[in-house]
Amino acid sequence: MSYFSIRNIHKTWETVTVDFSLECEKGTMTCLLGPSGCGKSTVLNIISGLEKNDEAWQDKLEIELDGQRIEKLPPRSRNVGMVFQSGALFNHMNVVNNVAYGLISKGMKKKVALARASAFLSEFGLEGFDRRMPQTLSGGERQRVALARTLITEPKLVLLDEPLSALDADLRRRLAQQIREWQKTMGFTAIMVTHDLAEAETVADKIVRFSK
Amino acid sequence: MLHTYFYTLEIALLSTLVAAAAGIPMAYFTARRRFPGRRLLLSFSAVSLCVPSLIVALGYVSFWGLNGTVNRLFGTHFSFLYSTAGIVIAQGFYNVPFITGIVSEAWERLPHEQENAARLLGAGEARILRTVTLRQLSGAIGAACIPVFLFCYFSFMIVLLFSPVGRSTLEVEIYHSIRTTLDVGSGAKLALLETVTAFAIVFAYSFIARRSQTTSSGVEYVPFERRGLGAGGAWMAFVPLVLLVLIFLIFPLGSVFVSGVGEAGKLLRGASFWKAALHSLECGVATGACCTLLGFAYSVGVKLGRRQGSVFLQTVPVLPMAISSVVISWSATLIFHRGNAALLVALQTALYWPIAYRQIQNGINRISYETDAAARLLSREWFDSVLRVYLPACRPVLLSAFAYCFAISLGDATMPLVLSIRNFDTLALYTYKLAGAYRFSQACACGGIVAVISMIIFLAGKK
Repeated sequence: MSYFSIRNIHKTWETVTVDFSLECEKGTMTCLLGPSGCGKSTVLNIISGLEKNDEAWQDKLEIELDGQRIEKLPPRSRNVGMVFQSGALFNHMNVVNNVAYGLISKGMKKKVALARASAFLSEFGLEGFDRRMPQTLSGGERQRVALARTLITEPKLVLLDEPLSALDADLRRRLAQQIREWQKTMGFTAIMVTHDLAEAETVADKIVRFSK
Repeated sequence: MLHTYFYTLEIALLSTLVAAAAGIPMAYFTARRRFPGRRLLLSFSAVSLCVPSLIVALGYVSFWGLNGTVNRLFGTHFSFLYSTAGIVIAQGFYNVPFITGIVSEAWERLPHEQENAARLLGAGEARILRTVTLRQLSGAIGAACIPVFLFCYFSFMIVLLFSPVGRSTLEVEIYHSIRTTLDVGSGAKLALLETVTAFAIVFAYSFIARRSQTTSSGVEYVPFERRGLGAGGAWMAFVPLVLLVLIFLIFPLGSVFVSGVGEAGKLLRGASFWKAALHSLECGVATGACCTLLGFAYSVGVKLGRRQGSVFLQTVPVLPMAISSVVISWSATLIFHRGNAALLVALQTALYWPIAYRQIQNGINRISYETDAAARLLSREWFDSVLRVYLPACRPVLLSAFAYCFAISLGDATMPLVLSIRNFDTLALYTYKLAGAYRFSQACACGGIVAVISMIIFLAGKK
């Protein structure tokens, strides 16, 4: 039995229909590759619970993560982390508060959470960034903070929604390699959406192609 | 003097809190929930902008007064009007639509990703609201609440009519000093205190507005899928909120029309009404045109000079917010001795042109860098590009700015009252005089006409 599986995703909008099932092994990185607008991000949103399956298919949806069915759970209880295309950092909080947010939400004392977040930042090459505000960071730094914020809560599954698409080609290549290294060393299970084949080949154990 | 000063601050603060307490939840519902009448509710945001405060005061007397609709309906003899609570409730609810309009627009345009990120990081809805949503909205909330605070701080008509015995605000005290007790020295001290405080508030507003501009820029707007009122039991908060707005704003405004409808014919047959209407029209057109021209010239000057980032040039248009109608009119009478229509137009222009500027600036900012560059390269001289590119591009916002300033001029009773121009009543001043002469139904009829004209012109300009 696989570590993560999803069956019967079915979502239709305008002229596009996504009909999709997937299985992933623990500690692997799967890439969903395809052109813009083919429904890759929708798959991630349905896995995380931010979007619903089509009405008629809601009861048929099955999402299993580490032996637990999660399709009926609210997003915050699924133990799924997500890195958004824009990073979605909280612009009114500094870097360390952004990274500690999830720990505090899960009940950790603020002081402890901040100390842990500060230490965790160094694993992403972000030493000394604690007090920086998100607006002052470069695109690559923002995405590293977003990744740190997601990984610190130790989610069972990490979803990466085109996290590198806003970066220039050189930075994209370097950060893709870093993500692969972090994924190997930390051993997290991830699904990443991209429209760039080279990026997918750099990071992925398995590539799933989408077409329109 | 300090007693009056603190009372003014207290009234302004409490009124702003009432407006925010009802306006912000209402903004949530109009931005995030789906219900019948949502657009109608949003269109009420025009009420605070174009219905004069005098009409709201008339509405409160008509609905909540001792002989008002409520007391007649229940056979009671109750009124909270002539008290601090009366002033706070009337001013607070008058400004609810203003706060709702601004905050709702910001809420609707809020990027969802931050909230979704917080949700996936394990935060509950209350924590998301407190730590993410409200913090993201803080710029818009500040930008809505500070003008409301200033409006209540400078409020004249509502306080003049409803202030309890022995209590008064700076604006009303200044008016009494110059018109009743003729104590010019005290009036000047009060005016100075009032203006210095207002300038401090305006600078705070200017800072917040700039901050909210920088945090919201560059965020891509994705329409939010609104949920129904049934989800999460939202209707339990929505229904009482709508009821409050109905009984403290919509019904009182409606009762102005109900009370005035019987006397409308009599009013329309009087020569005084038509004379006042003509004066209002003249003043409104002149003020609207002057404000629009000044606002356009200032916007174009800033754009052509590539000085949009200048803090000084951004601050100049907010300075008139710190000057009260009473103080500026009084100062003018000290210089010119006697008020006249031209002086009224000049003073209204001095106070209202920033409103025109704000709207025109939005239109000018929509002209892209490329269009601007092409206009400069292809035009004979700068004035040519203004006439052939800027002016046509800004036509809708120019009309809107004109309509808005016309409507505000139409509803202004304070400046004509303080200037006391001989044989020159505007409709708003005529309404005030009718109310003062205990011809209440005729005052309501006249006020209703002012409100309807203001709303029509305002909405036509917006369209």
